[in-house]
Amino acid sequence: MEVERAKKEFLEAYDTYADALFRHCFLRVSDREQAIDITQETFLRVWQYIEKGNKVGNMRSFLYTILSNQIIDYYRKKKSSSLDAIHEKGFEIESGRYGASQIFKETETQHLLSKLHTLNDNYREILILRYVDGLSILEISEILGKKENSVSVQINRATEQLKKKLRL
Amino acid sequence: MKERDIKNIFNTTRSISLSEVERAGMRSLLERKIEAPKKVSVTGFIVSIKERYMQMRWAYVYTPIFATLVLFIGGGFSLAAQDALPGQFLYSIKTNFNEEVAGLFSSNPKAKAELQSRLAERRLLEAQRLAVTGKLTPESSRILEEKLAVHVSSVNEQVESLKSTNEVREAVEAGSRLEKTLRSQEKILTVLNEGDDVQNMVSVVRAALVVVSEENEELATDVANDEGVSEDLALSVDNKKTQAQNEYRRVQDLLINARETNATSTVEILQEKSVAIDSLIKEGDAHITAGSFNKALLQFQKALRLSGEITLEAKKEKETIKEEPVVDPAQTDTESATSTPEVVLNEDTSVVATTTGTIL
Repeated sequence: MEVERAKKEFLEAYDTYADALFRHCFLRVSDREQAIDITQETFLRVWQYIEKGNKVGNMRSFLYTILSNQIIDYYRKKKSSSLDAIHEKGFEIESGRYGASQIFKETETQHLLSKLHTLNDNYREILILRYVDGLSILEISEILGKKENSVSVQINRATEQLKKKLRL
Repeated sequence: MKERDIKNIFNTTRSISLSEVERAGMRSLLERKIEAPKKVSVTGFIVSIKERYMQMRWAYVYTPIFATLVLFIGGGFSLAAQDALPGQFLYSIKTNFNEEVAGLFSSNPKAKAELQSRLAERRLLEAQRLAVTGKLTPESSRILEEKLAVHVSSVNEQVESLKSTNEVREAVEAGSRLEKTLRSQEKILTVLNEGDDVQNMVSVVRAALVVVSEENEELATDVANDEGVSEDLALSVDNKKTQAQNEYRRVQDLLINARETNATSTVEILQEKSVAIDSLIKEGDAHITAGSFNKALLQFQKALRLSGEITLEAKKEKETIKEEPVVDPAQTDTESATSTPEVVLNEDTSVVATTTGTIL
């Protein structure tokens, strides 16, 4: 009975957070296929953790923590490939609903992404967590294992850098 | 800069999401994983491995070396080919090897149909990438057209196969998925609107859409006579209804734009079709209320087919408008008059792109 409830809660978490995690991942790695793989691997790891009888307090924070570790692993494995090459390849933004407004938004998004990817990964991660994923300072501090104050400072610095890049 | 401004900038990323196929595919894999029985005990497994190693140690030494070599050579090509586009050397490896291998892992008609839908979407994304870089040539268009036809035909085969084994819901979902993919890709290609080759690609997608839409209507007609499957179709019907409502809104927007540009014959066509689509959606709703999801499916599918017809008729009208540019009589300035935006029909529901590049 306990297992069935865990399965149900896990699948509910998938339905709730799959898109958000994928979006976060895509913005970090700039590769749709990789983002799908990493998101999938994240959910599998979370399930393996739950399957062993472990309890997850805050599922959202936990998912982002695992995802963040997966992305770090991905970059470690990918060290040999140049980030510049990834940027040159561009960003394929894809969704089920297309239209003129969508294209317009995508152009804006691509501009934002191109600037976002000139920031270092720590700044990029913290901005995405804050503004794309909409996480609170407390949640971000839990995910990154940093003090709330430090997170706030980093967000401010990252925002300032992005502002300069976007010439705002 | 205020925090609100930054939030607004990041709001543009909301459009990034998993496609329906990707989301469903990942969920299905997770479901299988969580339902799978636990593995044997670690100790037993290690003992078994040790015994096997002693028996076959030489094979264990050479096999990895051989496999590594094969993987390095073949895998390197295969990986590099993933981003290849038509006209590039590695493209045939991507489509004839990578995707064929992916097909081997699709063990049933449902999975095969999902894969082929995804590949159809991939072909159209390739067309977009070529189009925006000005590299969509007649040759690359031809390659993409042929491959798209194969994917569409393959999905239809799988739909037939699912139908023959009475997996009606899966058949409906597979057909709907392809139709939705083609519809959204057709819209984006239309907006790109760059050159004859893009236009040709748009025509190819529209033709495919007509075929798929008709096939889906045929399936929906069969389903409408089978009360036994009604309840299974609730979710599919809901999705179909959403699509039909989106198409209805698109027609409404086209109608507003046609009125603004005084395209009289277009207005008449759109009014007539708009009423018909609205009526079909209402009939579908009535069937849902009565619990007849199978009958509702047919009505929504008919509404989608009608919308496809508008696409084709609007295209003809667009050609007419091109021959006789519409000039606003209120404008006396010659330059302004010649730059009057020509409405490109068959656009997104919410906005219409003009040939002057304005997003209305």
